[in-house]
Amino acid sequence: MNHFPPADDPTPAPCPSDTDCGTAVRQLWDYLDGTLDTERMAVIQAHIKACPQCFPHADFARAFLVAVQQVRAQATSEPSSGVRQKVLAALKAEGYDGR
Amino acid sequence: MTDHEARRDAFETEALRWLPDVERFALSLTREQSAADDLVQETYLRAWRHWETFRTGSEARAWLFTIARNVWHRSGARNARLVAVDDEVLQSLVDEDYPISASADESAALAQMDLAPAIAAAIHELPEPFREVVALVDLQDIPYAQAAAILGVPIGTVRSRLFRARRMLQQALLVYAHDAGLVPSTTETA
Repeated sequence: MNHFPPADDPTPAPCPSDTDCGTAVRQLWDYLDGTLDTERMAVIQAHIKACPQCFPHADFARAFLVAVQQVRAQATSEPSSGVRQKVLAALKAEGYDGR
Repeated sequence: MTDHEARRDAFETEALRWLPDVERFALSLTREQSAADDLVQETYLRAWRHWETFRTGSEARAWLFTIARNVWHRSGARNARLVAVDDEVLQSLVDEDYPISASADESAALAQMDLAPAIAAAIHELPEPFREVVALVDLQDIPYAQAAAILGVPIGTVRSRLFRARRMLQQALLVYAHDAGLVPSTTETA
């Protein structure tokens, strides 16, 4: 999930249509998650590249998703001290005799 | 190997390996370490008691998350803390339009910042129906369909809650950045 399309052109041209902006905003997360079909991906990408309103918001959304991934990566891979022992003790009271 | 030994070994291999993930999910639900520890313990007790109902070969992590959520949703601790969000209010939150309240300059500034610490704090403050979707999809990398099964809602609900939650988190980041003087104060935040 979260296959970020490239930011591409940093100097977008004026937006062609407000309605297109609404559509782009509604489909932005699908676009950034890579869950749209190929045709819609191309439409939203073209809009974001061309729209001075949507371009920075897409950049912010990309940065947001990268940061979410960082939060996920920073999460500890070990349980907190005590919780494993607590779980094992409770399990052993019910007949579990593993480690 | 006896049946008991086989059961024990399978439980250790398939269920206990997910203890860190279950703990993180429990913490995202309870938002308090001792309550999370209790929830993890109860989750594993129930998993052990009902291990025969787990389909070997399927992913035990999703099964454990489902148990944890069910336990939490039935617990007195959860009900004592919950700020009621009835279905109608929740739906209106989900359906609400998504105005972009950050200016282009603000969005550009935010895109350059280290947002991870502020996001972790903002997730903690999300209303529960949104927090649990973010916890599963964004923090545990659970696919939409599996998250829908864990939460007992249609996949479209997972999608709409997730998208709304991300907008809420972005909004919280904007407020955080303004409060910290990290972005230009050219517009009012919503």
